[in-house]
Amino acid sequence: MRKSALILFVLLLGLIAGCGAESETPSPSPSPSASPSPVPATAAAPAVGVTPSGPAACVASPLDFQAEPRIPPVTEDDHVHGPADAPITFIEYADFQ
Amino acid sequence: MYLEDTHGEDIRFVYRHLPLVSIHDKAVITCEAAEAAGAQGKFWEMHDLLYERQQEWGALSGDELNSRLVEYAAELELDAERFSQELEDGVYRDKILADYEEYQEYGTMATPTYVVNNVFYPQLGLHPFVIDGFIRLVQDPPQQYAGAAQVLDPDQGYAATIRTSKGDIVVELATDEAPTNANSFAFLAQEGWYDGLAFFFVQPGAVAFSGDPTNAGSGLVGVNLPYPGYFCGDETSADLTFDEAGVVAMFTGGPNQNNSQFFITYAPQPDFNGQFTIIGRVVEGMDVAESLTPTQPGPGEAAPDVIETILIEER
Repeated sequence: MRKSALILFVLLLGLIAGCGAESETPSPSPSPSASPSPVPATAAAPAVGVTPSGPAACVASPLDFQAEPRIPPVTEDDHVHGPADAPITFIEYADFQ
Repeated sequence: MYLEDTHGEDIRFVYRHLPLVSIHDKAVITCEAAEAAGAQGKFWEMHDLLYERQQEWGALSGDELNSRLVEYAAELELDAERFSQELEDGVYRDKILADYEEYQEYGTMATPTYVVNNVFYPQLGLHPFVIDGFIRLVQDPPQQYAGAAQVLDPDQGYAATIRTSKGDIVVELATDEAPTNANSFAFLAQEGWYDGLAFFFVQPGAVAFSGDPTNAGSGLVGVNLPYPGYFCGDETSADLTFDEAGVVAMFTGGPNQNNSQFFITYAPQPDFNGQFTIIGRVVEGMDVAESLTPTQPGPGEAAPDVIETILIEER
C-alpha cells in the first residue's frame, strides 16, 4: 500500500515529523479551510501492487496559501520577540501543558 | 530558538495563549502564571521555565501547583506576593478565556498551531527545518504552472543529464511507460525548476531525494504540496519495477499527486512497486549518484549536494 511506503520514508527521515514541538504532540486537526487543498478533484483510488495505472493527465493545483483575515493583528498586548518590521511574523498558539 | 537563530532580524515571533480547557486541566492557570510574570516584565522567562519544568508541575494540582508556580516566580526574582495575589484573584483569567473563545472561530485548533504571515501552517510535522521550508514557500513562492507543456516527442528517446556538484547522472527517460510524468519532469527541467535544488535527503543503501523547492522534505510528511502548481496522475507499469539500484521515480505523498519531487534508488525497493511512478533509469553516473553526500533536513546535518541544472537531450 502507498501508505506503508510513506511510512518507510518517514522512518528513513528519522525524526523529521516528531521533534521540534516545544510541548506536546499536536492532536490531528484537519483545519480544512486553512490548509492548501492538495487533493485534485480527479484523485482516484491508490494503485495496488504492480497493477498498471491508466493514462495520466496533469491537473492544475495552484500552491495558494490563503491568509486568514480573522487573525487579530499583532498589538502591544501581544508577547513578541523580534523587530516590528520583520518580513515574517510567526505566531504560535499554544498552552504549556 | 531555531527559527530566530536562523532568520535573525527577519522574523517576529508572537506567542498567544490557546489553553485547551477541555483536555488540559492546568492550561489556564499556567497561562495566568505567564501573564502574571509578564506583568512584571518576565513573560518569556516564565514561558521558558514552564516548558522546561513541564514534567515537574504537570504532576501537581490545586494548591500544590499554585505554590509551585509561586516558587517559580520567586526563582525568577519576581515579586512573589503580587504574583500569588494575581493568580488568586484571577486577574488575567477572563482575558485568556476570551481570546481562547475568539480563536475557536477559526475552527478546531490543536496546540501548538503555527501561523506564518497569517497563513496557517499545514500538518507537515513540527520539525523546525520543515517549518522553515514552509516559511520560504509563503515568502517566496516558486514559479507556478497550470500544467506541463508537451516538450517530449512521443516517438523519440530522451536522456536527462542531472548535473550535480559531484558530477553528471544520466537518466534514460521512460517515455513509453510514463509519458506524462517523464514529460513533466523534462518540462520542469527545461524551465530551470531544478536548478539549485538540493539532494536534501540521501540515505546510502536506500534512496536520494530532490525536487522540493524548500529543500526541507516537507512533501515527505503530512500534506503533499503541488509545488509547481499542478499534480500529475500516477503512471505505474508492470513492465517497470523497483528491481535494482538506479531507478528514478517521482515522489508523491498520495495518489495522483506527482509534483516536482523525485528520487533515485540505491537498491531494489519492491515495496515501492505500484506506489511511485518510475520515470527512468540511471544509465551513466551511478557512481556519482552513490557519491552524493548522505544527509537529511535538519540542523547539524551535512550540507547537501546541489543540482546545477538538468539537461534534456534526444538519444
